[in-house]
Amino acid sequence: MTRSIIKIKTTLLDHQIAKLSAIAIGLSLIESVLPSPMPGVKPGIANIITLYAMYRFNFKTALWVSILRVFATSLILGQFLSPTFMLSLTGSMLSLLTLYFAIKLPSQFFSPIGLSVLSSFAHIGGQLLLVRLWLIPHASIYYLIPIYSVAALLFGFINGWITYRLLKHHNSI
Amino acid sequence: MRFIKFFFIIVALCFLQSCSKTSLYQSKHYVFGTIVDISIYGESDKKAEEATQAVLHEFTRLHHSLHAWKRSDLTSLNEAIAKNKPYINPSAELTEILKEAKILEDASNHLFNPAIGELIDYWGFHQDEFTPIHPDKSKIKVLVERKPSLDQLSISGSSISSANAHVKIDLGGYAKGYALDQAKKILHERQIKNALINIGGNIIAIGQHGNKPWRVGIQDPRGSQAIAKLDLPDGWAIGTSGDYQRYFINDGIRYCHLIHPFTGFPIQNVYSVTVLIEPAKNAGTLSDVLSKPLFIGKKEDREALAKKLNIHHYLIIEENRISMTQTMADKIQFLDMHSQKKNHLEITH
Amino acid sequence: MKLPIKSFLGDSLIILISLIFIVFAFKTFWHFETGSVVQVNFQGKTYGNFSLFQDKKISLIGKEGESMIEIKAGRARFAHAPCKNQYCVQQGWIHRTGQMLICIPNEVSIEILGKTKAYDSLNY
Repeated sequence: MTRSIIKIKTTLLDHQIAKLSAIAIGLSLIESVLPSPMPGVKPGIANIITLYAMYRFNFKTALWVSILRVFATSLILGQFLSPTFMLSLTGSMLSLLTLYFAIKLPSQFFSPIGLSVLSSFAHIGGQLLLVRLWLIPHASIYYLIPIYSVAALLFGFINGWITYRLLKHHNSI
Repeated sequence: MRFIKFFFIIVALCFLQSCSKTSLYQSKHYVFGTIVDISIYGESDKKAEEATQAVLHEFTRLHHSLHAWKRSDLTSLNEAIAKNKPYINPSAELTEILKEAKILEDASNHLFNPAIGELIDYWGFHQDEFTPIHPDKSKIKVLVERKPSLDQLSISGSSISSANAHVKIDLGGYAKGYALDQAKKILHERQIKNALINIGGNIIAIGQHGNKPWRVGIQDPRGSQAIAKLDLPDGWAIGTSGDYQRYFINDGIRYCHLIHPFTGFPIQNVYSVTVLIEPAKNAGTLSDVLSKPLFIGKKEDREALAKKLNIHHYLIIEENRISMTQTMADKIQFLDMHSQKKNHLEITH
Repeated sequence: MKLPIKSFLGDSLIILISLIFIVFAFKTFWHFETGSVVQVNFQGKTYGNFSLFQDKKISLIGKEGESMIEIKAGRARFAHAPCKNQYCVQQGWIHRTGQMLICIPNEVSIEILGKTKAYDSLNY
């Protein structure tokens, strides 16, 4: 029997995605051990990578990085298919969807900072919707909206600013 | 950095904003011999307060005019009747009230009868506090056979007289409702669009509580909590006659203040009757009066009587049994699951 | 994306709108009054409403294990939860209207209901 070798051809894009995803997963894992004042309030630093990928490369790259990050992180933490995973996935997908449209905004006026804020609001919006519609249907989630909004604005701003600085450093912006 | 400072200032500001005034003006008073609760929504405190004072003033006036046993226009009238003398120059209000009450007495087949003051007095309910008595059947028989009725009154603008000297008028089942109608008039005059007035449990609604209707609770006749709640839309009134407010217990038997004019004895085994009255000029009055014939009348006659009196929505609570019309059932929401379970619920027509 | 950023006008607009929304959210959704009733929700349904003015322990066995809710001195909390993160327990006591603690894994949540009365006035 001849030995069959399966060769997978990797492109440059694949390498990019792999590198970025690795960093994103790493950031996610670090974040998971940090204490948070309230469940759902997270700095979301892995989103920096997603946003960076979007600007530096393209949307498709960002999409892959995001999906890989969510899946891999949850597998590593043993949360695969758990409610936490669902929340993470929903938030990320809605966040990406927002970015898909937001990136079309004129970049003379809109920097990663603004986009990051938009995407983090989309992120918490998606999560709150998931909680309300599926996880805990009767819950009055309104109480959480103010606090989550503050977190979204604050961390969205910080993450966006970091992304902006990174991109500037690479002369990509 | 500047942004963060700005951000925190905004947040701080909004915390201050949260301590805003609500636009519900509520006040409680002891007037008209009972607790009066007035809620006014959506007006400035000043306007609400002035309107409340006007209403309370009116209630005090009515209290002094129509009191059943303390010095009043009514007691003067009763004294004249007892002496077989005409009562000269009655107020227009008194004649109107008596004419109205007479119509209602007839319509209720004389179950609602404000002329049986002597009986009520005999049972001791013409006092602020009552002591138990041992009923003397023969004495009661005498009082009953005197058959006092408002039909025996001759009412004109210049005088009121009675063919029967034993007519003693007690407007206890009428005055509170009448006061509600008066209050509604006063508030309308003052352009108050949303208010809820509660006189000793009798309630009339004007407008709404903001963007939802006024909501009232119905008392559990054997408890201190509300047993059910319902919305009271604009102009609707609600009244309850119950055996749990004015009563005494003797030898284990409860004697309440609702007395059957034909037997002379207080009604037993009915805990409470609640009627819901649709908007009308005298909705308040009807909400007070119409619960009485249903409370006093025989169980088998209730449906026919309610029909005759045009009472579409009522609720009757007896021992282990709650009966109500379908329309009433649609409107109320029981607050206490326990009472729903232990009571046989019956919906009549 | 190699276009230069001329100004942060768009960003500032987004941030401004966010701030306005936050102010609105606080004014609308946050209440500062002390509640009187805690509603316990379990597996998608209301398990019961309990007065905060009593000392009570409520035990619910969900798919993760036992959640223990404690009511004491006008406050409520998750005294014990079977979930890994223990977020609900860590939040401690709540007592204000609208405050809520959720244990997603075990499908238990508690919410403080306001002092808003069931009715405006009592008919008697």
